[in-house]
Parts: sequence; C-alpha cells; structure tokens
Amino acid sequence: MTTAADDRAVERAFEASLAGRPVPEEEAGLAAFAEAVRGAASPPGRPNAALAELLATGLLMDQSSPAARAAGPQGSPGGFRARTRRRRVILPALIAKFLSAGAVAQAATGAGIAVVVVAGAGAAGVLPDRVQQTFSAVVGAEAGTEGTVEQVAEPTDVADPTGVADPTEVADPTEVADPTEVSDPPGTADPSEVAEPTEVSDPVGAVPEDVDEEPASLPQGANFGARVSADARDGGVDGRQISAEAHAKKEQRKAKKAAAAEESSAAEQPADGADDDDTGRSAEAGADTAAGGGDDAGSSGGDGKGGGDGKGGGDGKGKAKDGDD
Amino acid sequence: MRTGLPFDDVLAAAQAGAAWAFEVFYRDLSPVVTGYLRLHGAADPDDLASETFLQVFTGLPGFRGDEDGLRAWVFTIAHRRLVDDRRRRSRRPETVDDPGDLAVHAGGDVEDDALARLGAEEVRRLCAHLSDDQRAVLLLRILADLTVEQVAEVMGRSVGSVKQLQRRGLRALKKILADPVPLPAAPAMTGTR
Repeated sequence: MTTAADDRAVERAFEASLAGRPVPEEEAGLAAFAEAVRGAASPPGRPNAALAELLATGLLMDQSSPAARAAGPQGSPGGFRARTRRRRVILPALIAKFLSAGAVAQAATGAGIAVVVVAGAGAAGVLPDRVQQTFSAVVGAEAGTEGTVEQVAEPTDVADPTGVADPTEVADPTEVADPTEVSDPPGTADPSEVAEPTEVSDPVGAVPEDVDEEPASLPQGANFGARVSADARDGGVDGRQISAEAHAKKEQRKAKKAAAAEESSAAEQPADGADDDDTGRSAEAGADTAAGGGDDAGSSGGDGKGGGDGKGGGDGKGKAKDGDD
Repeated sequence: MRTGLPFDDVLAAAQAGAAWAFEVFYRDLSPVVTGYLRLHGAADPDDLASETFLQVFTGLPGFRGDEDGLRAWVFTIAHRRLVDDRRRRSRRPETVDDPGDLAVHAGGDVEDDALARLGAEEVRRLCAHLSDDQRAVLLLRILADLTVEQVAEVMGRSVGSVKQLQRRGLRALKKILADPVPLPAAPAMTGTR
C-alpha cells in the first residue's frame, strides 16, 4: 500500500535523479531506471534514404542563400556538392538515354545535332564561302519573311539581284530580305559589312519609316472619313456614293503606286500599298458602320457615333466588296 | 549544443537548408528521439525517427525559439508520429512475452545491482508495463530532458494531467521493481490502460 507521502518521496527522488543529484538509497531503483533509459537511447538512429539524402545535400534553398553560407563556421559545402553532383549526373544520363534509344531516334537526334552545329557555324560565319553564301541567303530571306508580310509578297524585293550594288538600298528596310547584301563575298570577309545585315535585318527599323510616310496620305483619308461622318450625322449617308468614291480613290492610289514603282522608289511601294489597303478598307467600313473609323484619322469617336445611322450602308458594304474583288 | 557551436548560428544555417547544420541537429537529437520511439515499442523506430527529422528539417524555416524550444518541438513531432504510427498499424506492438529474467533480478537486495546492469532490453520490458501516456511522460522527462510544462505541451495535455501521469507511472515502476513475484506477461503498449 502506497501513501501520498510515498508518492511524494518517489517524485522527489525522480526529480533528483533527473537533476543529477544524489538519490535516497530506497529509491535507487528509480535512479537506475533513469540511467538505463538514457543508456538505451545512446546509439544513434539509422537515417532512411530520404533523410540521408537531405543530410548529405541539404535543402535546395541552401544553394541560393548566401546567409546560409555565412552562418556556418565552415560555410555550406552541401550546396556546392549538390550542384557538382547534378552536373556529373546529367551528362552520363543523357548519353545513356541516347545509347538506349532506337536506331531511328538516334539518327534523328544526330541529324538534329548536325543541323544545330551547321546553323551555329553559319551564324558565326565560319562556313566555306559557297556554303556561307547559301546559308546567308536562306537566313536573309527568312529574316525578310519575319519582317513584314508585305515584303514577302513583293517578289521584286527578294528575287531582284539588281539592287545588290545600290548603297541606298542598304538603308532601306524594305530590302531586308535581299540576300545579295549578305552574300557579297568581299562583304562577308569585311567585319564592318558583316555587321550590316544585322542592322538591315532589324524589322523594327521598318516600322518608323512606314509611320513617317503616313502623314502625307493621312489628311486625305481623314477628310474622307470626316466627310462620311458628317454625312452620317446629317442622315444623308449614301452607301453607293461612298463606295464609288472609295473605289475611285483606290484606283487613283493604284495608279500612283504603279508610277512610283516605275521610278524604282522601292521604299515607298509598301508604304503606299499599306496605305491604300488601309484607306480602301476604311472607306468600306466607313460606309458600313461606325468602323468607318478604320481609316486612321477616321477612327475618332465621331465616326463611331455615325455607325448607328450607317445601317443603310448595307448597300455600300456589298458594293464595296464587289469593287474590291 | 553538444558540438560547441552557437545554437543560433546552427539554427540559422539549418533554416537556410545547410546540410552541415542538419547533421549537427541530427547527431545531437537522433539518439534520444530514436530511443524514445524504440522504448515506446515502435515497429521501426529508425524509420519513424527519420520521418520525424525530415519533417523537422523541412519545417525549420518556420521555427522560432531557443534550444529547449527546438528540443520540445522535435519531440512533439516525434510523439505525433508515434501516435499516428500506432493508429496506422492498429495492432499490438511487440512487447514482453517472457519477463522471467526481469523477475529474477527484481526485488530484494539484488534489485539495485540488477537495475544497475539494466540494458536496453530490460528497460523496454519495464516500459512495457506502463501505459502509453505514463511511459511518454517518464521518457520525455528522462530522455528529452523536458519540464512537466513542456511535456504537457508536447502531449497536448494539462500540466496537472501530466503530473498525475508521472506520479502513477513512478508508482507503477516502483511496484514492478519491488515485486519479487515473477511478472505476468506484459500487457501491450496500446495506451488502453
């Protein structure tokens, strides 16, 4: 039978053993038990695979945190070790994957690598002259294609080799796709001329010039759009009349464009062409609906309001399309 | 820390994910955590301890506190892992089937000598005669060096409840150690007592 006093005595002995103080003789068993418990816990555990990996490499954030490296007395070797190990693992893994692939896959991979190598060499300009010419021509044509759709549609720009020697065309963005600029053998050897294609091939440069060309034709389009808007406000919109005017306007532009082409002002051709298209479309749209503002200047809110009245423009729409065709 | 390194430096490095800091903590705490799980009769104490430390290391960036706080936190995770493991297994852990050796050594004048030679197996057999909660309280006090209040936090109980469990556990231990009669087959560590 144990009493409360006994319990208190046992507890005191237990606390004394925990604190490392001497324990009464009658409670030596408890002290021995506590000691044995501590002794039983002395062997360290065996980490499982996941923990072993974590202990070896640390966490990923270790590698990007300079604080971690500064915090430790010896820095943080775990991060560097992990990076090096990953690099060592990736390359053999890729090689093993390649070797284990089928014949077709290996051939395809080899061809891909060859293409990449040739493309890289071509970009660096270290291919033999003839191969480099061909490469440059292809790349130049592709660069021109990426520039604008208009330029690709214009066969004279790409195929005409006559413009090769014309220095004025170098500055012309429309000549971006001209392969002769790049394929000129002496030009290729000259570092200064090698740099030219990159300048020329910048399609961004073409945009500002087109924009610069716009103001000359803008007022006409604006006037036309404004007139249509005014008619719409008055309620006197005549779709047929507007369509006819738009057609006439387009014909004029075409004639102007042809004349300009003859004068070999290649720079203005696409600009005009683009302008024509825009204007023509805007005229159609202006007759149709508020989108008459499709014309650059006509895209003001005034045109938009006129759209409601322009319902009658259904006629104009149809005719305008016919006329385009 | 036992390594002699400033705790704050090691903690900062471990919170940043440094492997060496993990190792410092693991070497310091792994024996007692694994021992705690082993004496509780966990089926695979090493694996359970590993899971505990994985959770500890991945959760370290959010930890705030001192060394005692870290120790209490680690044992909190270990204890919860243990409880989860028990529930998952839903079976009786391996416990004492033949306490004959212990009965021979226990009691009388031989008691102290015998207990002085207690090995891990004997301690495990003694622990098997305590309820899960009594055993948890005593082991957390002895192994983890936690106060009654910290044990209460780890176990999610009140301080009074922990004191009561400790008192009953010590009484049971004293009775087992003093009883010269051979012990019956030990009840399982199911926590039902």
